[in-house]
Amino acid sequence: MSNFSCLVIDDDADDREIFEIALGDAGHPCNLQQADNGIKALKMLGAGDNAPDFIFLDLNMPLLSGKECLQEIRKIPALEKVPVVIYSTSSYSRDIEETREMGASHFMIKTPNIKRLTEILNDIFAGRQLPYELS
Amino acid sequence: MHENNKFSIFSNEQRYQKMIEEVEDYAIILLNREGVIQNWNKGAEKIKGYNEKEIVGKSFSVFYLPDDRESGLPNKLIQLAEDKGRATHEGWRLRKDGTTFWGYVVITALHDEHDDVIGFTKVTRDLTERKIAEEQQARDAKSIAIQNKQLEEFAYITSHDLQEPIRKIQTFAGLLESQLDNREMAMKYLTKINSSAQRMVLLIKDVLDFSRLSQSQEQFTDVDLNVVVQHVVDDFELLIAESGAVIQINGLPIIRAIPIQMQQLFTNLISNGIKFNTGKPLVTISAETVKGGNGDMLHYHEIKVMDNGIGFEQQYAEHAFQPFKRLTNEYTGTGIGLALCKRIIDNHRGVIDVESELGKGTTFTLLLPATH
Repeated sequence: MSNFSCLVIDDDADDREIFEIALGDAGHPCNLQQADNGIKALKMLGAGDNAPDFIFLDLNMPLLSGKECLQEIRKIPALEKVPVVIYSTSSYSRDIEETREMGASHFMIKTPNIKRLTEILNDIFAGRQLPYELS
Repeated sequence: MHENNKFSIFSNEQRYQKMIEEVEDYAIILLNREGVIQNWNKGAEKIKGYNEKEIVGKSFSVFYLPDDRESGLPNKLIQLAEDKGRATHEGWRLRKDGTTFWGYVVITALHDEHDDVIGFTKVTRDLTERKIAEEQQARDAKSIAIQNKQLEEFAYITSHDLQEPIRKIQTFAGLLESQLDNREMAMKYLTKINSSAQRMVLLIKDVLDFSRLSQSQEQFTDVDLNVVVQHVVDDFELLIAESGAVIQINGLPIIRAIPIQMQQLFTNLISNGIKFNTGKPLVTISAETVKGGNGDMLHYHEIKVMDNGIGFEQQYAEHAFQPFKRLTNEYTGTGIGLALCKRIIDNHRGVIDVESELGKGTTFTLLLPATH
């Protein structure tokens, strides 16, 4: 299996580290890029020439919120088919509905269980049919 | 029959006059074409406080507030009555003793046999009680709307921000469990568990401060802001010594305020100026009195809190006052400080604004009503 590439956008260094650990335990070799805010992420994505296979996006971030960042990403034609998975502490119904309407692929509620996070990542990478809300 | 007989000694005209004179609930008065008062009834005396001798021969514009007189409201109303036959108006009016009442006024033009206007009748009702009840109702509705919004904010905060440290504690406890034999890693996760717990304590304290902010009128008193700011500076003694910060205070006013909230306000503003700073912090606090704009007759204290800190791009200014919205993740904080400041200023019927430039510094401008 070829290497995946993922971009995780999260201002919280602990959460990026947790994500990295869970990703390391997943069955796929994966290149992980990290951005600690949405503005840096948009700079890294540019016009989408080196698009990652998956984008994981936190909602509650300083400067550019996750929702604003999602809207910007969805304006880039080359990223049209790249799944954006919301990765948030929030389980607020309005956040879940709004991000779905803005074109997110899944809403993953940050779980305290790293094994569960690894399972979900494997399901996403394997292209299994999954509900919008994941936890 | 006896009563009837007594009444019948009056002529029709006299009876009519009696009828108007004795009405107590309405001020019914006769004006000539220029608005000069021709007669007076009991109701007018009761509502407006003048007796007949004092007021007949004067212009009815004496019942109007200085602003309304200046804008020509009394003349506009009799002009309207002359043109359309009738004019109605509701507004605050003056009594003889200088107090005000909320009057509902109907001015009707009187015509002679050639249909020329010869004067006006003016009927006024005192609807002050109704007006006050309506205003109270509007205030109650607004206060309920504000409370609902605050509850919604609170629900969001508990569903999101308060869960975050708990989730991290659970996650790191799980990682610790799997690394119990690796002392170095175990220590690292223990440290993270501790700092998450500390963050939780800070968050709960801030959320409580935020939700406990009351605006009960009894707590308002004269507060000398020079004293408040000096207390804050004393509290920050250690931080100021460590950072080499300089706090300059230039002649602050005494205002009607809730003392503890002024303390919280300046604590947040000054600590931001020191904390979000890479060099030697300089925080300057100054004040002047300014006039409100756009017909606002009030005077305001304009207080500026200016720092030479890291600043931020002006486009993010609207985020600055929202709870848990942080403008940086390079410094510690819960994101509640400026939301607290905004709510304190709201409680004091003021305005808070921020201007900032990345790398140059930030200036907060507070406008607070001056009561004297």
